[in-house]
This record gives sequence, C-alpha cells and structure tokens, in this order.
Amino acid sequence: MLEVRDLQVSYGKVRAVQGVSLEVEEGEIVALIGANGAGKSSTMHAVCGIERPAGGQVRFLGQSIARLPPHRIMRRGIVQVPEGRLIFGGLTIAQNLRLGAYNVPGRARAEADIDRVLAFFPMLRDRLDERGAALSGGQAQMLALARGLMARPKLLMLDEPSLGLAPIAAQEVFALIARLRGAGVTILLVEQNVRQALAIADRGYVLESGRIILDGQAAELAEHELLVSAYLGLQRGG
Amino acid sequence: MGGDYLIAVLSNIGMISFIALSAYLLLVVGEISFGQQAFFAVSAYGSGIATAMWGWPIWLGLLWGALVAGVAALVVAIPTVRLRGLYFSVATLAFAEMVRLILEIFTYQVEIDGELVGPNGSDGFRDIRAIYDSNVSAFEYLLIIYGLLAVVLVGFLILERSRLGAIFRMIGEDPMLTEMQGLNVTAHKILAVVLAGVVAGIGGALYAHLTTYVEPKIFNVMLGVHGLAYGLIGGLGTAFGPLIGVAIDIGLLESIRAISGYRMIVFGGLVAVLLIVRPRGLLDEAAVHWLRVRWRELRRGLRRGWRRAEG
Repeated sequence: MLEVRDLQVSYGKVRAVQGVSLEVEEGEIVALIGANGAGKSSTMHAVCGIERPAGGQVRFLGQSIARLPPHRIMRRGIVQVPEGRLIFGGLTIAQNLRLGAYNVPGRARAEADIDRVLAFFPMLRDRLDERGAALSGGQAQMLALARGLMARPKLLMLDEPSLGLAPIAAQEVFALIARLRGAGVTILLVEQNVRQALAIADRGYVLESGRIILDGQAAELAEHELLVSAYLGLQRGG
Repeated sequence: MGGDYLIAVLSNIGMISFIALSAYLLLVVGEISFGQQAFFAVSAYGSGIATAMWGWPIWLGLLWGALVAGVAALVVAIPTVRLRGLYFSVATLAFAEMVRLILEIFTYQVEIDGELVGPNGSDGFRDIRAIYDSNVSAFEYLLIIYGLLAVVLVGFLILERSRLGAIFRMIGEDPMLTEMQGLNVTAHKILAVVLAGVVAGIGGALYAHLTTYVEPKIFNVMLGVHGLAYGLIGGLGTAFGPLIGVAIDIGLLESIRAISGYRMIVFGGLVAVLLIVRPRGLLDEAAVHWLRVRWRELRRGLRRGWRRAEG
C-alpha cells in the first residue's frame, strides 16, 4: 500500500533521514520506533508532504506522491495525526471532528460519520459543545485520533500518540489503535514507547540516526537483543 | 446643531467600523496587517474618480471602489501571503506607504463645468459631490452607511458559522496543523486578504463621499493601527468585537469633551492594559463560547417554560 524507497530528508545541512526504505501492507499496523532525533517524525512528514523529500521515492497505491502538496496527498487517503495531541482549542469538539472531513468529497456524510467515529470514543459524545481547550491531555489525543478518522483514511499515520500521557491514558490509546485495526484501518505508528508499540503492531522498523538498523515481525523485534538492551532494558528491571 | 454633531459622530463610527472589520478578519487568520488603510485609500480615490469624473451613479461608484480595493488586495496577497508574522506585517506596512506616496504624486484631472476635477497629488481630490448633487441628506447617508455595515456584519456572522469561517480560525490557530487536515492554507489566506480588502474598500468609498475631499495624508499608518487596535480591544471572538472597539474609541473617548485632549493617551493606555489582561480582547473566543452556551440554555429553558404554560 505504502512504499518508501531510499527516502532522504534534510534540514539545511543536517540530514535527518538518510535513505529509509519501508513498506506498509493493507490492514497492517507497522511500528516505526527509535530514540529522539532518529528521524521518525521527519520520515512521516515527508510521506504526508509537509516536508519535501531531498531524495528517494514515496509510492502510495502504486502512484508516486513524493512531489504532491499535503492537501493532495491527504485526498488520496493518507491522514496524519500529528505529535503533541494537536487540536484546535478555540473550536468546539464537534467542530474539531467535522473539520477532519473538510477535505473529503461528499461532505453530507460528515454528520453520519461523526456517529460512526464516536462509537470508538464514547467519552467525547457528551462533550461535543465544549471547547477543545477544555480537554485533558488524554482526551485531546483521543479527539486528534477521532478527527483523523473523520477523513476516512486508507492509511492512518500516528505520530507519538502516547507522548506525555499518563500510563493509563497511554494504555487506552494503544487499546484503541488495536481496535481500529480490527475495523480495517491500516496504521503506521511512530512511537518511543517501544514495548507497547510492538505489542499491538504486526511488523516494525527500528530507526537510528536517520537509517533503518533493524526490521522484522513485531514479536521477534520485541525479543531482539539490540532492542532489549537499548530500549527495553530498564523496563524489564534489569 | 446637537443632531448634526451626533450624525457626524455616528457616521464616523460607521465608516471606521469597516476598517476595523477588515483588520479583524486578518487577525482571525493570524496575521497582523499595518496596511488596511491602503485599501481604504484606493477605494476612496477609485470611487471618487468614478462618480465625480466619470459621472457614475453613487451606488456604482461604491461597488467600483470595493472592487478596486479587492483587486489591489489580491495583488498584495499573492506575493505576501506566504510570509508569516512580522514579515507579513512589515510587507503590508511597506505596501500601504507605497500607495500613500504614489497618491502624493498621482494627478489625473478633467475639466467639468469649467473647473478641474480629480486627484491632484498632495493637494488631494476635491469635489466628490455625488451625494450632495443627488440631494442625499446627512441622515439618509447615515442610513446608507449603517445599511451597508449591517450587510457586511451579517456576512461576517454567517461566515463565522460556516465551514470557511472555521477554516479561517484554524489557520489563525495553527497553519501547519490546518495543512495536515488537507486544506490549502495559502489559497484560504489569499481569500481572507481579498475579502478584508473589499471590506476596507466599502468604508473608503463611503468616507470619500461623505467628506467630499480626500488627501493622501489621511491614509497614513495611524488609520491602520487604529483599525487593528479596535479588534484587539473589542475582542477577536466575534465580529461584534471590533465594533465594540470602535464604539469605545470614537463613541466614548472622542466624544467626551473632558478627555478629548488626552484621547490618544487614554486609548494607547487602554490597548496596553488590555493586551496584558485580555490579549484577545474583551469578547475573546472563550467569552463568545460562554455566551453562546448560556444563550442556548436560556432558549431551551424558555421553550420548556412555554410548553409547561401551554400544557
């Protein structure tokens, strides 16, 4: 479904992504993991067009999208939920949801879609008239996810959805992502929370200094010595 | 006499409201323009030329002025709208000063009934007499001003409830996140600048015909700064905000004789205090939301009471 070949992203002289290749098949959850500054977000921004790749290819459903502006890419079905639970605090929750569908043809559906999406987010249903600014961190992340779903994505790209959330809220977010896959949404998940990301993912890629150093089935990656020592060691208490 | 003064003050409030709404629209999309006076000026001259020199009827002159201002805004928008923050502000200021300096040397006169009529550089543009020639009284003109203001205000209120209005607010809050929702931020900002130009233009055309005389120095940067300040005082949560700002400044400060000499000092102080205490003005987004919710509850309560009374 998504095919990234030898992708490069530069900020001035700094080469943040140096030849990343990865694939996402329909119906999968693929985790892209790595430390801060490894190039995870830059890779994602290049796929959705916010950053212009310095080199390499990005193909989606067989067509090249590497030179398209963000709104065109989104119209083809790639929707990004950005890092930092970014919602529009000045708009109501209902407005935040609706605007997720602004770029989708056939706006009449939007109201019906709100119902469909809210089935995943019952906690938002009673608060549709409140301002986005009134939500807690976990709720704001849920709203950002719900807004992403309003666009009827073929591929949903989640950038650090658990970042800065309390453990319970983070767990809810991961449980929800797993349920979304059950509903047929393909997901590319960027995460620092390696253990939980690999627990719900089918496959994973490990990024370090702008390069992919490991990839494979999620279950195998979770047992890989490199990951266990670098990212999971402390969590295992060892 | 008192009646004439009141009409003059109210006319002023009405005309300045257009420039306040114009600057407000750009504040909503997150940009500060120091140049909305330029569109006011372009339309004042354009509409004056149309009625006084080409003999067009007043309503067509007003329309023409607004159109010219809109086209000027489009020309400004295309190169500047990609600039953000301070850079956009400086670009609008530079453009407005450019317009003012061009008007200082712009001469285009024709002879009408043995007299030269038309813009004459820094001497200005006299005898824009269309409303006097067609016997429109000061009070009738006041009604025209407020009629047009009402139309524009209703337009703003409809806009704010629409999808386009939500997109404008999204861009003001976070342009990059807006782009991630798959919206073309550049195109929407160009549209906002053009609409703001048209709104300022309506005010400029009305102004030229009320005073019958315009000169370049009227359209200096202080006019634009006032337009900006009105939104910042009255609030950026609703189009009523900038109108409240105008009413406070002209209706209160300028009209109370006791403080008339200190008006600018009081006004400047008011802006400074509000920027600290309420950075998005009296009627900011939170206040407008609070009012909307209370209003809805009140209506619901009344309806329930109604039904009980009937049943």
